[in-house]
Amino acid sequence: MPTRTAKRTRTQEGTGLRSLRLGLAQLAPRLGDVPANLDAHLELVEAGRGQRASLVLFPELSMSGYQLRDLVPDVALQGRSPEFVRLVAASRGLCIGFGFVEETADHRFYNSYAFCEDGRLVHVHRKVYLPTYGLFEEGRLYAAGEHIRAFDTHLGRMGAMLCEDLWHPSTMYILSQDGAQLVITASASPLRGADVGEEHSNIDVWETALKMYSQLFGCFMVLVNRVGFEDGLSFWGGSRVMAPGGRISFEAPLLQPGLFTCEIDWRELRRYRVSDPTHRSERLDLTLAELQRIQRERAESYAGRGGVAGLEDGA
Amino acid sequence: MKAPGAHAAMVARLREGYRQRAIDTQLLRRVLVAFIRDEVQKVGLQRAVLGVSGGVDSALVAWLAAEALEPHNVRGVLMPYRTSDPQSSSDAEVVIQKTGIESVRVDITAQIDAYFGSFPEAPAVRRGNKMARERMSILYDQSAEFSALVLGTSNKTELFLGYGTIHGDLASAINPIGDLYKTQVWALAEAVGVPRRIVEKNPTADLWAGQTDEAELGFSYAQVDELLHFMIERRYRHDELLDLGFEAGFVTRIEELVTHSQYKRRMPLIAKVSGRSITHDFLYPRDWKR
Repeated sequence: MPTRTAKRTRTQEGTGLRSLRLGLAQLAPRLGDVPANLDAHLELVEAGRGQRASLVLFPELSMSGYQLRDLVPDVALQGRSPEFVRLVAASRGLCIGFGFVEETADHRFYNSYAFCEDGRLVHVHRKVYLPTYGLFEEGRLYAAGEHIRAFDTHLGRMGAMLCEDLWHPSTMYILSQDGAQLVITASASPLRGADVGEEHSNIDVWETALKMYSQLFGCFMVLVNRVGFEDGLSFWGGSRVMAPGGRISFEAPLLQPGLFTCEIDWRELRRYRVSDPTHRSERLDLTLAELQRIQRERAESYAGRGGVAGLEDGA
Repeated sequence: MKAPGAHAAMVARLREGYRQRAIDTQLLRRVLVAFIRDEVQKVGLQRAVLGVSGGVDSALVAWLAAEALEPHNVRGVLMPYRTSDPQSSSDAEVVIQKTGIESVRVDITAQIDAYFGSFPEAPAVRRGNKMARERMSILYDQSAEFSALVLGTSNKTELFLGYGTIHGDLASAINPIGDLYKTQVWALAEAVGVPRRIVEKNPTADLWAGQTDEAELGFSYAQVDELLHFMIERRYRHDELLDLGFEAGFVTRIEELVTHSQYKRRMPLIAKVSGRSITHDFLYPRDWKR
């Protein structure tokens, strides 16, 4: 899928942006029905435009629904697919991000997220970490993405990841080192656990991670999570925005479909990074060298066993 | 070497932690109400039917369904047999009256007795299972007449123990409480306003006079839910459960019940002979284009 490679010249200061109006589209897609979902997207993009949003974000697999199983090839889109073209075109005058099943020319299928700006496709993120455990079976359905990259927009430099990608801190680390000021996590997270107190639900777990990342990496973290039910799974919504430093800047309601808009103050990023400049001293060279050493030692340990993976004693 | 005092303290803390835990009844109520509404409406219907026994499980589902679909779109079916405890019927009437849902009463005595007239030696369990299946067959007929989905009322404890009749009370189109243990059903039922009398009464399938779940099973729901919590939710292995202080015979018994009833929690097995077979590799979601 062709993407426009933007030059990394525009910074937040360069855009002179003071605040940004965000639209979080908590959609309940119709499972496996791309035309119906396209209509829902177009409607919400127009609603966002009506509410002067500069950026309208949809959840993971918003164009297809989540529990696709054998439906994956039936709902896959390519860059020339009419539904894809129409949705990219709908971004004229604003930015939109949406989730879809991507089919490549050689018929691999990815769980992908497209970012479009002013009628053009700017970036596609292919989900790298495909959960394949418990109720998840994405490793059976999709090829894994091979890139994690930030991208420039007229609003600022951003990163996009999909659900499980967030649970690998390396994803966030790479996006942060690549200069992302705002990181979008598009999700289809089903409710798991509804206890209060110690044995909390996964909603609390998500909140903790987003909060921690926005503190540690000093950037905006945006979660856009879907709602609705699929085969008994309940997607909890609760999309939210964390300001740099971990403050909850906006929280959409749980379970409720709709477009929820909020205003974020871009200048908060600078203020936080001035008061907490840990970001600037990150030792990328050291990190790389140590990771390479670990990789080398793993390979040597395997070779030392004559290339035979040994049995390890479990606990 | 484990320090015995420290180990005992850890065990006490874990088990106390379990007893102190609470479900978020407000969130669960919203999720389950939305689930019923969503699943009923996306198949193009507005209504639901359920069997109302007078027990807490069906009472909770009646409350949730009335909230999800409006009371006039829910039909509670009372299906007593001649040996049913009259108290069950009067509790069921309370559920109908308090929720405001529609009701139908179908006495199943004639059809059960007609059948067992040919098999007078049939033991109580066979009779109980037959009653459960007659009732479900009535619910599906009522669902056709009322243009409705059949709501299941089996809780997670019963489903794990296999304490239900396959194609009888275990059947349904959708089950809003199948992921709630009995003790959680009690908590949610109380939170949504099911009368305390119904929440607190001794659970019974009421398949024969004097039957109670806990007497028949040989343990209480509080005991088995605590064990299932560690065994299923927290993935403790057999020896780890013994370390927590659960009695070996009890653990083994529950493990056997869970294992032996697995067939009740699955669709029938289809012998695979083709390249693409239902349940094996024809894997479409049920909510396909819904």
